[in-house]
Amino acid sequence: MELIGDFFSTFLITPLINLFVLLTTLTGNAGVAVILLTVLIRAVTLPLTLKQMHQTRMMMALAPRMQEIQKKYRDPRRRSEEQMKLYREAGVSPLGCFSTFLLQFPILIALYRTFVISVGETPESLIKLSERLYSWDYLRSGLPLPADFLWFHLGRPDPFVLPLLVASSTYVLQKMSTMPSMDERQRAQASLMNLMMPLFFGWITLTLPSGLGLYYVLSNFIGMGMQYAYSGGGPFNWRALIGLSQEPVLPRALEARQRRMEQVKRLGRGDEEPEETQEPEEETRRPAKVGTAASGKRRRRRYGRGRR
Amino acid sequence: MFHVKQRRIPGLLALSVLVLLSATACAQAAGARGWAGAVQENNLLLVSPSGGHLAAINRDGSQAWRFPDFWRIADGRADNLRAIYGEPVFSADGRVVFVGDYNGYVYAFRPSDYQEGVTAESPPAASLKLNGAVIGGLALDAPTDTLYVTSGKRVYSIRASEFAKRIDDRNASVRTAVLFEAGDDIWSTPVLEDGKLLVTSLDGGLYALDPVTGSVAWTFRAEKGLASTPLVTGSTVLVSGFGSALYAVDADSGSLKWSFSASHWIWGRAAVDSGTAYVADFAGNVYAIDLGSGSQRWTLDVGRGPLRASPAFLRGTLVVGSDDGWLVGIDPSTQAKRWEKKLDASLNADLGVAGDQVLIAPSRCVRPDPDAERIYYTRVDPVSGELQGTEAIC
Repeated sequence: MELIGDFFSTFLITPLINLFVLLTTLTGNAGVAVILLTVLIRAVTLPLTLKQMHQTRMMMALAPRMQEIQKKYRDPRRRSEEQMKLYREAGVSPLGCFSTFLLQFPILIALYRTFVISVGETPESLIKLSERLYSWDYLRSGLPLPADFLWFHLGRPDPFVLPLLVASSTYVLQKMSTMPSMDERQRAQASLMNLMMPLFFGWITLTLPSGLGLYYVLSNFIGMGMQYAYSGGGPFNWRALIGLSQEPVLPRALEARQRRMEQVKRLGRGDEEPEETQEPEEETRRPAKVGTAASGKRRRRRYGRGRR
Repeated sequence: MFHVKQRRIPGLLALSVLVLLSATACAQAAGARGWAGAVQENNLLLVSPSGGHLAAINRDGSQAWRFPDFWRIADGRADNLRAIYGEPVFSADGRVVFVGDYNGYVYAFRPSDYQEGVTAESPPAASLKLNGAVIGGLALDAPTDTLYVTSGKRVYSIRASEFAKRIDDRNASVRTAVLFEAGDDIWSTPVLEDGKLLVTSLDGGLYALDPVTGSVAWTFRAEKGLASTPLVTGSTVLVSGFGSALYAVDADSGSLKWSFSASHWIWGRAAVDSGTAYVADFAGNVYAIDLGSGSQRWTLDVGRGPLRASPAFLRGTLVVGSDDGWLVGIDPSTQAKRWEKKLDASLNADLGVAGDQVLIAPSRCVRPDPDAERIYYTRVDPVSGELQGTEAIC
């Protein structure tokens, strides 16, 4: 446990603390430093985020075929083999959807420590900070860091506005990134999750340094922008956002899902129509290319040719 | 999806690592613990052996009392002491103890109200809510019956006798006034000297205030925040903080006499002896500085971690304590270590002097060796480095 803690501390927490102190010293404002830090972290984790978005969409597209397999095969071993085969053919990793979450979690813990130590209110936090700083006098020159930003203190929990922003932005991001399920039971579960997760995050923000809340809100806003771009833009279904409609929040995402479903169907017919499945299969194995407007256009052109 | 066996193991492993990381993060969070220095008064030694607790030790090492454990605080919201940073003070007649806590309250209680094995129920204690965390100590001016407390950015004056009356009558009114508000938090103890109340602030200011009206007689402004309690020696006020410098300021005018640059923060007060000021910095260095000119006489790299606590000079030995738990005795004539001891507890509390012993206040009780009972060290002999302590409060 100590070994993991030391590793985590040396390679994630300490560099983050130094980066945050540097950005604050350079800008003279810890809030601006949090904004820059958020953008930097999102930029570094961009490939994984794109991969996760792609994998999530693929998993959604595979859902009907998974149900078919579950109905078709009673033997758990055989069923498992068929499921793995389908995943392999589609180029999907079942854990791929969690990759960003798995990465996000240590980052959140490291940021929590960063804010507690860097803009913590206790005198002890300043001692801890001095022990963490690299031996560069410039880093020390800005200490103690100015911790006030807008109406809150970055080291203290904000009792109202930030928890509300965290909860609402988490809710919107979830609604944007999930597609209405065809299965009634799954839809009910998704609706519950769409409510519980934002409430949970909003609630824990009440006890965390505001710096972390600010990071989370900004990160959600960036996520929304990426989700919008990934889904191909288009209109925004406000009625679906507030639960008045079962349609997706981003209608164009539905088109993308349907394209994926067709692609998966073609994968399923692979033995009979080898020529047609070649191209889409190759496409699915290049998840990192998905996400930009240009690559989206290329993809649409390719699928068009495939269908012809 | 986790019913696929091959996928289960890495998933569980990843979850385990995350849980471990969370536990590590929470365990290492830098919460408030406090570092009140030991105070010797009325044959009692007052220390804070754990966060938010004040213990009194008799001459024979037994525990006389423990606050707030043995007392009943009338205001339920005040019953959650977190960390005591500043030294407590006794009233002029020695019957009442006043102490401030990081939770923003100051407390008053009578130690005589509690007697081991005699007192049937917890005696009452009074509390008073101030604006922000009380990190500095308290200062009492007995002739004017005024208690000076720093809380957040403010300096308060409190009528001490009225506050003491609140012990018996929770509704008793206490005259409290905000004397002054600085630009940033105040982490030091106010010092009353020659009709002026001296206060340092993290805004970089050293303020000389009128103790009655709070009007500013003069201000000295350092480049960075000041955190040390001012030390007055002759006509000079010595202050230091996060600018890695010791400033000598004229006590009458507030003008700078000289400044001395160290290699890191100087948080603790200086110790003065025979025209020499001794200070310790966060890089683990000790400096001997000529009080007249501000020039360096000698320096020693102690190499035992950050030195936050104010050093103590006694019987020809300079004693320093480190955040890493080292207690070191230095011989100024040879500028070499005379002895050093490792305690398994931080020594961030200012060192004090009582008789021929140096008072220490480690962050917790320690076990001298694996089979021994836990002990709280309270004194060290400056010449031999011999430690004294008690098991009674552990």
